[in-house]
Amino acid sequence: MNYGQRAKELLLDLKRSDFMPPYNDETVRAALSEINLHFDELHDQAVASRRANPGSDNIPLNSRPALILHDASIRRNKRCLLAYHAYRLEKLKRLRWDTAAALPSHIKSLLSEAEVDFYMDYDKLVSRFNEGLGGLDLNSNLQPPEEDLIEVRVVKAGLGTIVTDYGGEVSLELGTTHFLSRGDVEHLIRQGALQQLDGEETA
Amino acid sequence: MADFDNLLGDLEEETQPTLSPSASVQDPDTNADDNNEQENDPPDAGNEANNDELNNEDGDIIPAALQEALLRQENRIYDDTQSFTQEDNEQEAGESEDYRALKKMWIHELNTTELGNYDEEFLNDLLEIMQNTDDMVEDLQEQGRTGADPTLASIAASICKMDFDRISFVLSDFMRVRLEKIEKYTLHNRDCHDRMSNMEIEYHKKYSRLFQSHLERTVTDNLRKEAWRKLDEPEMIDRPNLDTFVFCKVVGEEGIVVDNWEGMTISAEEEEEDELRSQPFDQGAHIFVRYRVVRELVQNGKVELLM
Repeated sequence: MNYGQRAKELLLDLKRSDFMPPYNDETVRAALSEINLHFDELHDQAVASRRANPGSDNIPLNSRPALILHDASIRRNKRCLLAYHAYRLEKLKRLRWDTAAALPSHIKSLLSEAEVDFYMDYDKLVSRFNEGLGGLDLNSNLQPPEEDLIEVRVVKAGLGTIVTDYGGEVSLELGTTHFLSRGDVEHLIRQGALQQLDGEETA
Repeated sequence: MADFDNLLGDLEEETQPTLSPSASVQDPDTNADDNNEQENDPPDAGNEANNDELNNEDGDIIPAALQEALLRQENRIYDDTQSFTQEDNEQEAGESEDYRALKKMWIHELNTTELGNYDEEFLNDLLEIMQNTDDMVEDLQEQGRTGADPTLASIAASICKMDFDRISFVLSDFMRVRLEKIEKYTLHNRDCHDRMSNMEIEYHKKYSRLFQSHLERTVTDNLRKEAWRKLDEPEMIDRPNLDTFVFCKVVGEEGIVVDNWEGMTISAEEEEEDELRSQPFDQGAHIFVRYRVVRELVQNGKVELLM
């Protein structure tokens, strides 16, 4: 009698993985069919006990435990499934707020269709909210501003040149170090193209 | 906003001895430029005042308008040092009312799990002020590149920019925290629309529809019976935890009385010990309580949450 094992597997999957495991379509479907099996059992039991006691609305005491058990396992499975999906959605939302970028392909392969759709729609929703604020970009300024100008080193090749706030052009070649204003380079640091130096490095 | 006159005034006083007399020759020109710009811009008033001090040092003839500006600046410094002693030690002189109010709202949102009240007017004003500051920063940067007094303008530009960054960080963090709460307690917030701005209400509706349809598509639509498809049964709704502990400070004049047992079930014997139930606190006291106990008082403004 292993009611709820499949659902438990799903949750253990989530717990064991770093960011997200690939969407376990099979197990989800197995859990859903388990629910349906329970439902069938429940239905049969109810019908049978109704037939055994014709004319009374109450279900006899000796068939109640079975009904309660099936109902409880249905609820349990449902709760596990919902938790699994909700957890994955939370991770996707966090991804969107951290990077504000389109879905990278190595993550896209981990998601189900519905989740890809969710990501697109969520992205659209947040971007529209941003525009409505007018001038205040909710995706910048994630950390309290400490200094105005920071020192950065280029760690990714092929970035080209950027135009800074003050109007100068800076060419970002691999390995060069620059002293630039925070607003210009913050999004590049978040993408990982630049590395922030805090002045403590030697040489 | 940073009080520009004082900031630039301090700067000037430190560097005065090193300024050469030739600098003062340029002053009439830059003053003419500054006078042409809007009177309201604080950096311009600061510029005028600084140039005044230069003139005084060299003993040149001071035009009447500049003399007035000098008097104005001196009076303002005097007023600010007065108010400095009256304000709290933690607050710096020159922080504007707006910024302080914004900071208080921000700290409040950070410390509670439920959504705080939204002051629509105030925040719209702030957004406008921010846009104006942004324009001012760009203006100053232009001046810094091409104007008559580039060093002063670019210092003013970077100070202004720092101030702008500071306010925009607080404002965007405030918005982000609210959005996070709206998303986290979606079902509970259906009843809290009176605490949200119009944009947030729209966001909330769209987000809950999106979330719900995703869950329906993947889970509940595959269940047979209608009754099990419900996603918002009372026990399924996440409610914000009002029993978290918060640091707060009493600001109401008469002090407050706190009912420590609020929200907790009391056994028969303890009900008789009435003195332990309500505890009075004077103004200025700092207390550490469950949020539920001071919730009403916070909403009335008698108690302030601290970081």
